[in-house]
Amino acid sequence: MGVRFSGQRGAAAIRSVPGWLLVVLVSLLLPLRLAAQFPAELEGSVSDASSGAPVPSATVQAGGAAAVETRGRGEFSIRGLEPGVLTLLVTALGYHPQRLTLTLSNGEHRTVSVRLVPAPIELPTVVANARTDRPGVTVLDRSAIAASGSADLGGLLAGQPGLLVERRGGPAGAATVSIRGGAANQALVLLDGVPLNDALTGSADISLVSLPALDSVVIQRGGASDRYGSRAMAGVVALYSRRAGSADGAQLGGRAGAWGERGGDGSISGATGGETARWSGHLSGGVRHVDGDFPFDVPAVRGGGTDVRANAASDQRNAQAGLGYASRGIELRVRGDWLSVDRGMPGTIVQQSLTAEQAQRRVGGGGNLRLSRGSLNWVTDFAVQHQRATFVDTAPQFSAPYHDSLTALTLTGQSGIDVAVGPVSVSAGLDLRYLRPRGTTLNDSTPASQTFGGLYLSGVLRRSWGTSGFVQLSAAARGDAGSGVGDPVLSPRLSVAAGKAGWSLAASWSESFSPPTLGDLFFQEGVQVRANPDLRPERVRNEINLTATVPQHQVLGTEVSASLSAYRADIDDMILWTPNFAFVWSPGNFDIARQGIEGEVTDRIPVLHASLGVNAAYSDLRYRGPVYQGQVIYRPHWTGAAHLEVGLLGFRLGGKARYVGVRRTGIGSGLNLLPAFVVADAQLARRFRIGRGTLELTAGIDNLFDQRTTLLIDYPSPGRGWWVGTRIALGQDRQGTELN
Amino acid sequence: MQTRSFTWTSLLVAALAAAGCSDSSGPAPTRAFLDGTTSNPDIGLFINGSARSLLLFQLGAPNEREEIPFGASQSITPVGFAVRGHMAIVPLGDAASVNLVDLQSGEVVRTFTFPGGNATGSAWVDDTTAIVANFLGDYVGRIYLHQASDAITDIVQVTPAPSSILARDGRVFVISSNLDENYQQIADGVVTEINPVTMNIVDTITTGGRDPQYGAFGPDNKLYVVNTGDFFPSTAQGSLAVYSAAVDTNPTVIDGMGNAPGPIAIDAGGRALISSFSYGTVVYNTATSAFIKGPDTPLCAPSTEGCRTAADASFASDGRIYQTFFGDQNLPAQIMIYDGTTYALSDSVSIPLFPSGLQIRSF
Repeated sequence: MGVRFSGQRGAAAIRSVPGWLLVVLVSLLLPLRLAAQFPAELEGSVSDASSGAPVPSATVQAGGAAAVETRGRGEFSIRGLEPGVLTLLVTALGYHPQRLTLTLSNGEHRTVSVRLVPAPIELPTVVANARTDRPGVTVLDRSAIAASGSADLGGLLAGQPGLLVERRGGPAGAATVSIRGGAANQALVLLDGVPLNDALTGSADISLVSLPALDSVVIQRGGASDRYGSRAMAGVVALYSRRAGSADGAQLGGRAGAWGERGGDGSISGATGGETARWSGHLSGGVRHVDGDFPFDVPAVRGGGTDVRANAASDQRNAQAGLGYASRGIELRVRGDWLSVDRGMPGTIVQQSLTAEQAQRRVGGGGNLRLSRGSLNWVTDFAVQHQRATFVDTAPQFSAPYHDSLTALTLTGQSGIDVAVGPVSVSAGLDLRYLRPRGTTLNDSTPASQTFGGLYLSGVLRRSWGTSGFVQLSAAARGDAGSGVGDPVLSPRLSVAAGKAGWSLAASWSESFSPPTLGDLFFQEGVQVRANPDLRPERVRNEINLTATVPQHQVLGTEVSASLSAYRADIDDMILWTPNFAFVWSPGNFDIARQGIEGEVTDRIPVLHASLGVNAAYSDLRYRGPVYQGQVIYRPHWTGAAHLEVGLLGFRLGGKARYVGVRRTGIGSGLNLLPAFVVADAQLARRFRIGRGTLELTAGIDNLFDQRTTLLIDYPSPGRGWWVGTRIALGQDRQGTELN
Repeated sequence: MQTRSFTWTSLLVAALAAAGCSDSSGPAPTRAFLDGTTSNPDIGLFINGSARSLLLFQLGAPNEREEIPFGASQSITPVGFAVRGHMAIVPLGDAASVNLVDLQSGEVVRTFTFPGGNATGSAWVDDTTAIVANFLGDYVGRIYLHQASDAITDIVQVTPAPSSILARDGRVFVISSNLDENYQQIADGVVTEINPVTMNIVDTITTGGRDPQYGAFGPDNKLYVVNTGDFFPSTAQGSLAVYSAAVDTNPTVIDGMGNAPGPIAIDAGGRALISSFSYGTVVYNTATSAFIKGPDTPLCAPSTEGCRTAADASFASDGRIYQTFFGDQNLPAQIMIYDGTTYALSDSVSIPLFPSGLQIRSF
């Protein structure tokens, strides 16, 4: 990106934005994130205008945001869309592009049919890819998920701009994601609207999410409490599972690889009915086993040489089911899911355990009801989830055996309305959440239950000019109250955006918050650790985001698109762990300054049937206090990634590399830095048509150059490993790109 | 990653000296860092807990420092060390290993490892032999500097939670907190006397108090062990156990050491500095068995909340007293310097956060 500045310079750069530009930005106003509480969804089909035949592999780009490809019968779906007016651009090889303007209301599920007129000119073959051209938001659709070759959600998210995935244990060990240098418990992870963040730690174990069960992943960077309430301080990862109505067909997949990995998944979906009433259903499930033991380099402080990571095996099983009904302005969906995980907890490489085990069981269900009349929509979501985790070590090396458990019952409910009148749309609603934790790892002061509530209101004004110009202004606020929050918290947001012909510039100001976790407040005191019941909630104040998006442009015969975001914020009372005089560690509140920049460039090279993408992120997260100085420990300033995909002779060859920069390990000290590292993966895929279905064969090598370094030195990552996969899909349930 | 400012400074000093004394018989000799300054040969050493390193500074020029990093692993948690000649043994805490450091070259020469646990106390028996403790394993082991293997062997089980070791006259004395697996007190602390040649236990003697972690020999050859007690008790539990020169009978226990006393250093005159995690440093005259500065009037640097606490304190050869303050979110870590006669605070020096294990020596 060629962008480089120190923290101070970054702040200076933001302050030095010309005054006239700020005036223009502020006087325009726009929304983007400030819209409704419920994202809209779009699905439909693309067909040939002359023959009526479906057009597979067409590119559908929504509002300069997500781009997806149509599947075998020309159908597509895009989820996680911001309500409001958007432009739908549909392109396909051999057809004239078609542009549609749509107005999506809060939580709307819209179906469209697009007919493309054949053209004598050839458009380039499309390579499945996810793009980041909505400010701070990345949408990874089903095709992008499948094409990633990732074994789990951690692998999928690693390398996304501004995201850092930390994995402990083996290749299937627990993993968390952090955004823009925040802690893992400052990233809200939602599965169909239900937080996956752990009741005790506040962070979400993303290794427990089955990728084949997902329909799309929406990554939103930056604080978003105005929309999602607590915990959304650094960003949100919204996961949408496959469900009734999202596809029609069946698929069966399998995967095996190094470290004893083997697993499979399957799904079947169907729908029946006509124009007045339509029923749909979905059933899916999967299993995954990983032996997990892998060689690693022992650090010099433990004698050097190599050793084998032991007790890192994992068994995961999951199942999901859903039913849907739609009729004349009414949509009702219900869903259920089940998860079972048993895995070893090997600990650090210094204090290894050969007998520590974790077992986790999660069962949940929920529903969604949507009623529409004219421009008025009412949406209600509800979900219940019960989770039990046990942690057992019968023979630890140097401490007493333990048998701990944590049970959490979570109830969530959301209800909201939205209405659009001319260029103005307004949304309002209510979120409620109830949590009942029980656990031996919590002390006697732990409350029997926690209740949270949030009220939100947002409004959007959008003016258009010409065929593609727009100016949009939005304002939103959400009030939250409840356990651990303290006084009621108001999280406001103002934003403005303008654009034309795909170019856009957006600015926003917002505040967000996160209460202390139950663990920080109430966990059972142990050796060298002490809870802190006096912790204050973390607050992000005066967060400013600026984003510029450049649409796809022809450059030297290639199609280049780019986006660049800059941000700054003051984080008051961020919770970090430090030792006291007796080296007893406990959480405390610290004032932090957060600023950074993220950029991404994607280049399609039609003549090579190739796609090249590069992203880089600079995240400066430093203490503001008088004593603690410099970058917060274990946070890299620089992260980045690059990927290349090439279609050749019917094969799809892909490679990706991600970079994690140097991390400090001592407060205010440049000693004992954790070194930067690059990890590269490669994969090869080939898809075959078989009757009404497809067969896809894939193979890949992870950590191609066998790098033995890792994010945390005490939790090594596997070296080079291989994997192979196969997937058979029937009906419309086909995914990814066909290049043969 | 080492801080080598002394090298450049030395070169500059040498160059300037050469330029300014061109008519003399030759350039002034460059001084090694461990030699200290011309006016003050003392070197201060402490563990930099925030950066996982051993930090050395010249008392004559406190901002002239050398820092020896130990690694990036979170498990490296040293809190003390033992020096003999220009070599230091540094137990690395949770890393369950011990670094052998050449203070002259500023390098980690070797690393010895326990199978697991937590490496805490250490002591030199002679120039080539050291004993180190494993706090979680409840044992001590022996290291020969030139042994072929990196493993710490000759393990001897001692009273649980050994935290520090002292050596004197061919014997080592292991101070154990005597805690159970949940870190609760089993009984009063224990000193285990071991023959470092045979690694046989010679004697075990109670300390007559809770959770002892530090000790020192006085000029009277007696062993002084500090019973720290609970860190947050309802009443102060600190006491000082005084063993006879033979360390073979139950100690005399002197109460009134206040809340959570810890590291102890004794000068040639018998003055003991006992630093507390809660109130500063007391000065106790072992010869007269009386406080010079008691827990109510300790050596402490004032803060808005009263006294700063003390992580450790030590005597310099010029008689001044150096005291480390651990630092926190609001107050930076510092070395406080007191007059050795009036005990008045005379100076302070900023240092990295979380210092521990202060020693002052001349090399």
